[in-house]
Amino acid sequence: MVTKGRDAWQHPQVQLARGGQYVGAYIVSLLLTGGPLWLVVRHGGTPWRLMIIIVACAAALTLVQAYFWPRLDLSRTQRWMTAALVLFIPLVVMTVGLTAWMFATLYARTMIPVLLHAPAFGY
Amino acid sequence: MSQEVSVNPATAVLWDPSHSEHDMITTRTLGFWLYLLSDAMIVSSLFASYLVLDHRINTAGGPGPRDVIHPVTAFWGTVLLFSAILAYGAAMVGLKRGDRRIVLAGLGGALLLGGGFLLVEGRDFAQLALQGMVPERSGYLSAFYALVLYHGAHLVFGLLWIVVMMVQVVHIGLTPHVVYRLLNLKLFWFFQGFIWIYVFSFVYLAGAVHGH
Repeated sequence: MVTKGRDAWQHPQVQLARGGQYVGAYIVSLLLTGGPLWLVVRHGGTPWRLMIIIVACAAALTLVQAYFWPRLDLSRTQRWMTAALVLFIPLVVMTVGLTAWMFATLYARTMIPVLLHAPAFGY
Repeated sequence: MSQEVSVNPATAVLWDPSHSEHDMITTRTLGFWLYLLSDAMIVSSLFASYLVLDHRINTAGGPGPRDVIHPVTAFWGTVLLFSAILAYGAAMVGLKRGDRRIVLAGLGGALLLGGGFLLVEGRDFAQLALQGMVPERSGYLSAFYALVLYHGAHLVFGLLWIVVMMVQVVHIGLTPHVVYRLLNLKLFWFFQGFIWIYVFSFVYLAGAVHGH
């Protein structure tokens, strides 16, 4: 890998840049955020259905942006960054998931009458 | 009995110094990436707090998502933020060609569009504050402000970093040290797009679903 002299831009991480892929990711990202917004604003479905669409679009956006913007893949140049991200995901799921689990029945256990039958989250 | 071995750090040779991935740029970008992931753990804990506090009891009888969340405004911010990331991508294409003018144009575009995102977000929060919807009002508002503005604070820092890099590109040129800093800033800037995906989806869109 080239790191010395005046040609540092020839480094493999610099050479990963692809204008066409950046534009493609940009368009897809706007579609995957604008689509769910349109459905939510127009009340296009039940809350459960809308939440499934929101989660699915967020997951798709994650994959699109991870691959086409910072170009996280299994190439020799990027594989350790990809590995770090993959190992990071369970930590996020545990942080958010275990917190949600711990607090899921909090309000039912407070014995406050109006909250005994309140949903675990939301309104 | 084991024999003590003394090593001089100034002259020590690493185990495999000829390994192809042990170059300065790759080592520093990987280190910065790991730092960004640790930063993202803070975001995860803020998301966890928001999930817990996004409940009617935590509004303390005050405003909830119906009053606070404006998903359409947030979408215009999303357009600006993704455009800022695209502009930085253009800077990376310029760097790939070794063309300083394209690098500076891309950085300038990212600066303007990122500033536009902050203006949209700042205006939205200023209106909330003027209506009395401040963090001290309730646990829900504290969590909302903390999560969204934590991302906004990153954008402010990113804009300052872009200005610094523009100065360095002009005065120093595309040296190895400037190139690795541009690559680290790329990771930082693109990462703000990642975080915003979840803020937009699970705070603004999900909040609009639950709030109505």
